[in-house]
Amino acid sequence: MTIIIESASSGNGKIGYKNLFTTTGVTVTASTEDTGYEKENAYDWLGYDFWKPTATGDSWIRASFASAQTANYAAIWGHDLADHASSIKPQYSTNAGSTWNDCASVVAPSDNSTIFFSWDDTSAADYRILVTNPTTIAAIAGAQIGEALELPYGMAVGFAPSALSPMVDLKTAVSEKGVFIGGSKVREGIEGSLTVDLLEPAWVRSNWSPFIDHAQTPKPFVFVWDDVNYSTEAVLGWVENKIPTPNYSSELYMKVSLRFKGTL
Amino acid sequence: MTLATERAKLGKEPLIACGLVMDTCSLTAGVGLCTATETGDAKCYNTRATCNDPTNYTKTTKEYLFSQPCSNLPKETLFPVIVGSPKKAPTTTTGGSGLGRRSVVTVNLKDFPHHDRGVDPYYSERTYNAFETGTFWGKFLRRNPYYEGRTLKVYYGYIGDTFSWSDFDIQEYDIIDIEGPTNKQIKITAKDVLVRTYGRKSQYPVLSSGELLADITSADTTATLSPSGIGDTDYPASGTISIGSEAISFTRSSDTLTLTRGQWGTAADDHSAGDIVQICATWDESNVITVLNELLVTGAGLPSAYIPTTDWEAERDLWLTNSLVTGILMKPESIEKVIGELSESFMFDIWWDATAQEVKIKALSPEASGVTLDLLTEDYHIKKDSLKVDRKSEDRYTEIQVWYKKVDYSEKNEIDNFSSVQGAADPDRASADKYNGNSIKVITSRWIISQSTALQLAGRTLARFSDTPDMITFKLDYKDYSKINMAERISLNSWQFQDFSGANETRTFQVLEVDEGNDAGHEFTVKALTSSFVGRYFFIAPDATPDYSSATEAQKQAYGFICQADGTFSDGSDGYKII
Repeated sequence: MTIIIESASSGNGKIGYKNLFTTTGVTVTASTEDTGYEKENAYDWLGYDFWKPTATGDSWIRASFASAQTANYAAIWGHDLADHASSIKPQYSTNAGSTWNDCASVVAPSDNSTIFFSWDDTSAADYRILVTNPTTIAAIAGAQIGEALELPYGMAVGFAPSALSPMVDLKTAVSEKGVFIGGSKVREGIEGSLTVDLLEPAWVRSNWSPFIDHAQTPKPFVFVWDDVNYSTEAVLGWVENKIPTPNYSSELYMKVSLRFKGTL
Repeated sequence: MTLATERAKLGKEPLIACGLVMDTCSLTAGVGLCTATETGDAKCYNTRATCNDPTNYTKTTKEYLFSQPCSNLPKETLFPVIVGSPKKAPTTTTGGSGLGRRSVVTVNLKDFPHHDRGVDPYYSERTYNAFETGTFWGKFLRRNPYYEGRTLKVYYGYIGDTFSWSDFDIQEYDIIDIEGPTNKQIKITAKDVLVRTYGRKSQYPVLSSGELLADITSADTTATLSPSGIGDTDYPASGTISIGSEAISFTRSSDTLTLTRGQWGTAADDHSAGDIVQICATWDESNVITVLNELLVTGAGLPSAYIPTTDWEAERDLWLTNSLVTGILMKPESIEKVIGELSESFMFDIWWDATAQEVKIKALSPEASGVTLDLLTEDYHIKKDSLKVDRKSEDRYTEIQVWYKKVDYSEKNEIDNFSSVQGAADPDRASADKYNGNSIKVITSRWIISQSTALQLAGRTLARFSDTPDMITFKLDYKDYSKINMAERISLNSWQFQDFSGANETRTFQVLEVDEGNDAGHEFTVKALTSSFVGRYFFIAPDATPDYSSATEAQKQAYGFICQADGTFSDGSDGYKII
C-alpha cells in the first residue's frame, strides 16, 4: 500500500468513500476499455471486476461535470499495477480537459496493495486517473476520487493497525515421527476497528452519519489511519454488521466506532 | 513457477476455482448471419434458450470462472463466491473387480447481484438496471437452462509469485445438476465423463427401430423389415439380430433378411408381426482393449481423444494379450454394467483421469520389470495419526472358480448356464495349520470361452488374494502429490507394518483412490490395497542374458531363470512362477 501526500496533512486518519465517478451529474469516459473490462467496473465498488485499457502507454478514466467539484483524495485498489511496472496519478483540469494538472505525484507501486493520494482541496469540473502501462496492461477494480472524510483526532491508545497482521488461515503438516514436513496458508484479508471519542455532535451528524449510510449500503471504503507517519497502512474496508450507533460519551461529546473487514 | 514447485513450497497458498463452460452463440444479434430483429430488452443473451433466430444459432462455448474468496486473486473476472471447498467423492478403482465408483464433485456458490457486464453482451441496450434486477444465478439459470452434460472445470493450484492458470491442475467433469438458488446459494453437481456409460445416458447396442412385417415360424429363413426402407437406413448388410429371446445371424438385401436361426445357444422360435428386430453387438475373440474402445467411443459417444490408444495398447501387449472377448449383447444394455463385467473377467481397472482428460486402464498384475516404487515413510511423508489399516478378511480366497462358455446367451449368468469351469486352489493356505478352511470365490463370465483365459483369471485372482489384503488410508502433504498415481503401486514403511521381530516392514500397495477432500492444496487422502502377488514373476529374458548366478539384481527382478529341482536357486531364493 502506498500513500501520497501533497498537503500539510493532519495525520488524523481519513476515510475515502465519496467518489466523483459515482456522483450525480457525472459523465465518465475512458481512453479505452478492453472487452469484459469496461470502465464501469472501476467504480461499481465490486472487487471482482476490472477496468483495463486496450493499449500500453497512457490511459485514463475521467469524471466530467458541468460545474466544479471539490476533491482532496484519490484511491486505487484491487489493481495489479506493480505486476506490470505501471505508474498512476490523479489529475484535474479547469479547462475541459485541454490541459491537465497533477493532483499528486505519480506513483509506481512496488506491490498491488491499496494506493491513497491526498492533497489540498482542488476545485475543477474534470478529474481523471492517469495510468501509464509501459509494456503490459494493468487492471483496476476500484478508482475513487473526491473529498475524504477526515477524522478530527488521531487514533486513540489501543488502536491496532490492521495492516500489521493480516488474517491468515495457517495449516501445518507434521509426519508420523513428528517431523515438520510442510505448511500452507490462505490469506483472508484484514480486519480492523477504530473508535473516536470526544466528537462534536454536529460533526457526527454532518460527517459520520453520511459515511454510515454509505458503508451500510453496503459499499467499501478506503481507510488510512495516519497518512503522515504510516504511509504503508491504508486498507480497503467494508462492514459486515451494523455500525454501532454513535453515542454520547459525555454531556457534550459523542463517540463513534467501526469494525470492518477488508484487504490491503 | 510450476505446480510441482508450488506444491512443495513452504507457505504455499492453495486456491480452488471452478469454470462453468456453457454454450453460447458466436454471432452478434441482428448482425450478419443472425436475422433477429429484436431490440432493447427483447434482444437475446447469446444463449440457445433466449435465441431469436434458432436456425442460425452458432454454438461455441464460454467459460465463467468462480473461485474461493481470498486475498491476492488474479485481476480478471473471477467471481469469488465458492462456499468452502468443492466436495469431491473421488474416483475409486476396485483392483480389477469391477468398474468402481465414478468421481462426483459438488460445488456450492453464493448468489449475488450482478450488473450483467461480461455476461449479457447487450447490457448497455437494456432499459432495466441489471444490478438491481434479480440475481446472478437467477438470471444465469433462466438464460442457460441446458447445462446438463456441459463441462465443469475444477482448478487446483496455488497463488504463486506469478499467477497463471496453466500452472493449475485442471480437472474436467460433466455437469449433472444445478440446484437452487436456495438460501442464496446454488449447488452444482458434476461427475466424471464415464457417467456417460450409465444406462440412463447410453446403452449398447442402441435400440433398433425395425420390426417384423409379418409373422415367421421357427423354421423360416427369411423375414421382412418394417417400415419400408428401414433396412437400407438402419441395418448393416450382415450381422446378428435378436427377435424375442432368439439370436439370429443374417444377411440383408433392402428390407429382406436371410436368416440363420437359433445362434449363440438360443432356440429358434416363432415370432409375430410387429416384434422388434434388434441389431446385436457381437465379439468373437476380440481383445478386451478393442471392445472397450468400441463401447466407450461408439457406444457412449466419448471423443476418441479421450482414449490414449498408445497407452492402452502398451497395457494390452504387456498384460492383456490373452484377454479375448467372445460374446453378444442381444438387447441394449448399460455400458457401465458391461464394462464392469469385463473388468472383473479380465482383471483391469478403468477410470477417468480428470486432469489428463483420458480414460485410463491398468491391468491387475505384478509390477513390471525395472520399476522402482516410490517409498513413503513415517519420517517424512505419512501425516501424523493419519494411517489407518483395515484388514479385509472377506477378500481373502483359497480357491477361485471361473465359470465360462455360456450356453444360452439369452439366459441369465447363472452357473447352470455355463458349460465349463476352471479353478485355482491353494490347499496349503486352506489347511488346518493356516487359515483352517476354504474361502471360495466364484466368477461367472459370459465373455470368456477360452480355457487359458479362464485359467489365467483364476490364477491371477488367487495369486493376488491368497493372503488377507489390507485396505489402508493415509494423508499426505501436497509436496508428495506426484508420488501418487491412480492404480499404480507405492511402498509404505510404517510402524503399523512390522516383521516378526517388530521392526518396520516395507509393504507394497496399489492406489485405489486419491481424495483431494476438503483441504485441497493442503493435504490429500490416499486409499490403497495390498498389492503383493504371492510368488515370483518374470518376463522372458533376451538372448545373451547370463545365468542366474552371474545376473545383475535388475536382471533377476525382470527375467525368469530356471531354478533347481527343489524349486530354489543356489542362493536359496524361490524359483519363478508363470502367471
